[in-house]
Amino acid sequence: MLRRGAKSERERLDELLSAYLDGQLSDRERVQLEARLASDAPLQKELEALRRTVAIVSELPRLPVPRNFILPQAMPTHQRQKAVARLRSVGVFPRLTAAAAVAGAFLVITVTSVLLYLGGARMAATPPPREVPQQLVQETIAVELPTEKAEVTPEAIAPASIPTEAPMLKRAPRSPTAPSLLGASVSPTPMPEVEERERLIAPAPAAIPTATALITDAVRSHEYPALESGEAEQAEAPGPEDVQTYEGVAPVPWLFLLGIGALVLVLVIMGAFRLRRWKK
Amino acid sequence: MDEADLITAAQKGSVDAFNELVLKYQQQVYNLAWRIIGDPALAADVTQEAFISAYQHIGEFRGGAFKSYLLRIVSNRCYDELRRRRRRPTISFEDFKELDEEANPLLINGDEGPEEKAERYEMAHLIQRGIEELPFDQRLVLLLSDVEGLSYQEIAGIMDIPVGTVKSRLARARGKLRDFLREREELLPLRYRLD
Repeated sequence: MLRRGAKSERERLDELLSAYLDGQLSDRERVQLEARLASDAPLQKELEALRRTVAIVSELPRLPVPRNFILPQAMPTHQRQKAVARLRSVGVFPRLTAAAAVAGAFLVITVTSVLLYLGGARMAATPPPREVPQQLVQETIAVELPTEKAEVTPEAIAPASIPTEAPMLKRAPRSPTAPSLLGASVSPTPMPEVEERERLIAPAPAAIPTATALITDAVRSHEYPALESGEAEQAEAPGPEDVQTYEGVAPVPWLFLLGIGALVLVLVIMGAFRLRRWKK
Repeated sequence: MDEADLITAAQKGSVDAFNELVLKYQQQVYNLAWRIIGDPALAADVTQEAFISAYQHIGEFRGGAFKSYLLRIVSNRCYDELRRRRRRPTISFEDFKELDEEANPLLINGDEGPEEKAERYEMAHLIQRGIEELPFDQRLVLLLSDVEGLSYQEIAGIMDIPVGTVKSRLARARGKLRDFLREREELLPLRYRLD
């Protein structure tokens, strides 16, 4: 405690001596100190030591500059700095931060939605029953025409046997040997089945309601018992009403516009952030 | 153009006008940085940064002594640099001693003999060590007062502290440096010894 008090006393004296050297004491303080110095040799010694310390520091040489510190002409002007400072002062940048987060989330949601929507629509628009008719053909050949399997091929069926009400299902014989099979191995009774097979074999674009209707009718007409159950239901091609629905699956312009708008917003906000970093 | 005109022109975006101010004050700014940091290369970097910052914020200068404005900026930069160095130490002043004469500003003086040069170098080296042992606030007050010759009021403006605080900090800084030199009196030339 005594040591602390002594130190404080020394500090107080140093403060007086230091201010005395700089002429910063009031007249009253200066007169009191000078009176004390006149009779206090150790205090005079301290004053002299302090004076020499100040003189030594003041005599330190001026150091020459290693180079000129002039600024390049391309320095950003103060006006730009001021504009950024003004934007900052009104709290633009925190709001831009929040807006950037919202815009980024919106962009992701929009793009994801568009991709999912279009992807789902494409999957729905793809004619799923395309494999089913081939399955039906194979089963039909195996069950209904076991004896004709070796002789009758779909290519060998005469074009004349195709019903006139479905002209687009007509097929020209692809094999030159097909005419020799006509009438020889095809009996009159299986003709309707052949018709049905031909209908099933013929490519049935999903966009043609008549073809899909034919397939549906064939399945529902109990010609193929194996497909009467749920399997037949699964084999149903999309009906005309479904096709009309798919026609609405065009690219959605407003979603794209929203996505592009959000992208532009994000870019603008990124530019603002760049401006803020440049300020720093 | 006088200083006020140069400042006005710089506030309007004139780099040329500001560069005239740079040429006028660069030695004082660099010296303060060098004395605070004790490293010539770092001091040069800090000085350059300080002038860039001064230009970028010159619109906020509201009159008064432009020198004080610059010294305030460079002292803040030095403070940042010292804090950074405390976290990531670099070379010490002892390493600096090994540098050659051309790189050591303390040794540059044309008209003196080898004995005086060595004496002055030892002296400057010792004082610089003593200055660097002071806390930053006391170091800055001591340099602004006893090296740059600023008044208490100017120092108070630069450091944004009351005049009474300047007075007490300066007294403590001088007292510590006096004690430091006293403890190493055998290293001082006779004419510099305190007792």
